Amino acid sequence: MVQLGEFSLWIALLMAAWCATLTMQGAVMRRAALTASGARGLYAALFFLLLASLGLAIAFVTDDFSLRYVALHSGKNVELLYKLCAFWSDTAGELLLASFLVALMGSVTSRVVLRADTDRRRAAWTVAVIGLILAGLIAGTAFGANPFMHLPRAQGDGRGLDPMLRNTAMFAQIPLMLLGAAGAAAACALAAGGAIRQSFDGALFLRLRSAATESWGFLSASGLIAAHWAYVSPGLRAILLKNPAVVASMAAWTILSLFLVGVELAHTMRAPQSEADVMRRRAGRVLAGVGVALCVAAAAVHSRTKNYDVQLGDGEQYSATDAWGHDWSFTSQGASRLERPGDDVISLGLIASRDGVRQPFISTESRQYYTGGGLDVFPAQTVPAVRSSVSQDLLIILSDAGEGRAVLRISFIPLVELDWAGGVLLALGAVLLFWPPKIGSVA
Amino acid sequence: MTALAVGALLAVAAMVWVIAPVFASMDPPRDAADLETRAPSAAADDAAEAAIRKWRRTEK
Repeated sequence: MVQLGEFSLWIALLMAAWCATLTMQGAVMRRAALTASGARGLYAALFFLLLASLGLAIAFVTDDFSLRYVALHSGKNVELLYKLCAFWSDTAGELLLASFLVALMGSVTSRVVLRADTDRRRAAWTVAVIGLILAGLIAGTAFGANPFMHLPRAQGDGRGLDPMLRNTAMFAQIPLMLLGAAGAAAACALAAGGAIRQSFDGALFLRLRSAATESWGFLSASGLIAAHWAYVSPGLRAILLKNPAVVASMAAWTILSLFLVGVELAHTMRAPQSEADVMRRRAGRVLAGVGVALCVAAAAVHSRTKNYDVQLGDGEQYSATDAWGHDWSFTSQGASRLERPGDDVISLGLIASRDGVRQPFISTESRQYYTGGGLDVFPAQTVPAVRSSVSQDLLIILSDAGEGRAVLRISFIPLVELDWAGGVLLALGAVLLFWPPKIGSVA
Repeated sequence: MTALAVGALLAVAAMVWVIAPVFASMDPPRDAADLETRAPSAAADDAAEAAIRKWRRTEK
């Protein structure tokens, strides 16, 4: 299956190139048969990219360490969920997944425009642009970062997945981000088709708005997940901001936001609407308004955040006051060291009490990862203790531990939960508000 | 059957399917084909004969 996957990647490249070439010819020569053949090339590319993706996923699941990408990002002791996540943990896998998702969104878009667009040449140009984007992505995967590249000698075990990426958020964040980026590519193709033919009508504008709103929704969901993940994983933000796919997605999200807000402002000044659209938009406005209010309320009290840098000996107690004036005490239970195959864990236990009332036991960890030869394979990682409630989050990060003493930071951050709830409501409300009316539903 | 053989078969099948619309567009028009293979019709023959008779009468 891995061999079939590798072979399929090259066939998909051929099909995407065929799609771009034939649909362009079809648009220039006004021949529907060439456009139909090019569109079939796009659907075939989708099929072969599915095979290629399945091939790589199976290589991860079956621990095929003859592939360089698998050996670098997975290992025998990595759990099944994270073996699947390792698929998109680096550029090669991200490009392959992005190619598959662009082919998927592009196939849906091309099927719609080829059936419904009255301007056949504009539809052909739209499919041609999708084919060009797809061919570029697959060529980048196949020639620049091929995940099917073999090692000269198969390894007994892999390096493992970067512990920073071993989080359930990894399963959804990157695929949602790439799905949003694929939607943005489809929207670009629609806009490019209109621009080449210099014909923008109401139907094209509605299609463009739908594609942009879908893409914006996926990118927003991915952004919220990434923000929450970075909040509980110190150091992740730097990794994400170095990822070109993340940076490109942030740029796409900003451009789409400006476009959709601009359209929304222009739309409210004109256009009669059906009753269903009025209801939907009203619900969107309410949700977005509540979301903004929650975010503003949370931002207003963030200045009350309290941070304490503490050095605590075994058995010692430290007292602190939280954002709302409650007295807390933390008693160190001492640091313990656990040596496991592949990593050392230093864990600090704390007994906490608030206003004299005993709270659940808290532990924060620092982990170091090494190979059999004793070399560090991944940077040391801190796993903070997070206690969330509606009023505030208690965050404890272990900076250092040794010889009966531990250095840690204790933070009380007020109304963080409101921030997340506000963000989710704002995104949901904006999607309802931005979604265009159905063609023909306008009164 | 090896994975590569399966891949090659799939690729050939996909190429045939993808190219099919181009060859389909080169077929002769359906109406012309119908003319060559249409079954003889007695009513059409009668109508043709009537038209020829009418034409001969007008010629005279």
